[in-house]
Amino acid sequence: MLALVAFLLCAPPVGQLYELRQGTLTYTVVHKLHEVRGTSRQLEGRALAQPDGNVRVQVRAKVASFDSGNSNRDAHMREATHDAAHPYAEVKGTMSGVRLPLNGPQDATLRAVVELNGEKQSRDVPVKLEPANGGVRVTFSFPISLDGFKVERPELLLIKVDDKAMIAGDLQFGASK
Amino acid sequence: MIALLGALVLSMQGTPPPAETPPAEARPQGTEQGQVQPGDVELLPKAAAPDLEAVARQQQIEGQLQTRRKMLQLHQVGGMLTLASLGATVIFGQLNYIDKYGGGGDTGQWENWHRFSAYTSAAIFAGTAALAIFAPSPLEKPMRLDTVMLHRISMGIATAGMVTQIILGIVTASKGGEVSQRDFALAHQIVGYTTFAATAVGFAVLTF
Repeated sequence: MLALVAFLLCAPPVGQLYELRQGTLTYTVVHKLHEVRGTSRQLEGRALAQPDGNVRVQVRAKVASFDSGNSNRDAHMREATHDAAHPYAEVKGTMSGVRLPLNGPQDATLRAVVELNGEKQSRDVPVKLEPANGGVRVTFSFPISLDGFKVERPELLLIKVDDKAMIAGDLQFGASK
Repeated sequence: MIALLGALVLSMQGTPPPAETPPAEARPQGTEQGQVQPGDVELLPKAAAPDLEAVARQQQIEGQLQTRRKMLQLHQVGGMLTLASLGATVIFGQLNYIDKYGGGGDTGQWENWHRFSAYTSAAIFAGTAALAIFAPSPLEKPMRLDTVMLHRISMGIATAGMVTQIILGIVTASKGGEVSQRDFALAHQIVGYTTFAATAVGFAVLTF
């Protein structure tokens, strides 16, 4: 009897699993002298769309995979986020009221946990969803505080980059086969 | 127990048939369906926990990175001091040249200013370069043409210029009273401006 109860409690959630097919995650930091954008295309991600309209999402990228067009700056970013101990930047969370496949573009809010530098922060992330190639395209953008994630802000000519950094994503998910 | 079992079975019957059962690693941990907290979502395989050797390596890399950061911050300060002292050397050198060959009366009033600023800038230049060259670099960096590469190329030219200037400066000084001294002085002047320009470019490219 107990085994049966345990089995029922551990039953997998029903729904359609979506795999991240392609996409980009980009960070933007601002220095008094210039703006730096680093982009990663080497992403891992999954979304689980449940029949009740709830969607669970998890996307991550290796910090080392971000490319700002300047190898020294990329290495510096890895230093600042303690890449050796915390190799991933991650966004995961849940959305409600999203029924996949989509009939058309839709706005939603991802109740997310953002992890960077081994620090986790909860936030609501506005996302735009639209049907694309039989799946769904997700775009989003939100600010973070580097100090909030305990990232020692890089400096150039003794001037630190701004505390506010922007994280943006453009992701395309397709139904898992 | 029977009531609990009944409730569970009824609740599961109430949900529509699954479109797909997600893989084992996609199952949420210890939370009821539909009430998962954002931080509990686990759809991707967890990264393997590092073993003791990997942890030791991480700590070693972290230590090296801290040293690197301190050295490169000092390198930035050194860069500013290099540019300032090199600028002063060029100005005093030009004044000295005008004094000696431009109808200034050859009073020698700028000679020591030029000499000491040149020694100072050479020392700062060497120290600043050493901070960058000897900074530990535990993370792999691909070689490619970017602003850091342009900085290195510029500073390579400046280094060659500094070495040339030290030799040319000594040779020029030793030619006192000879007609050829003016030619050496002119070459010293041209190389000096080139060295300063290369240093300024190396400094400026990093701001882009």
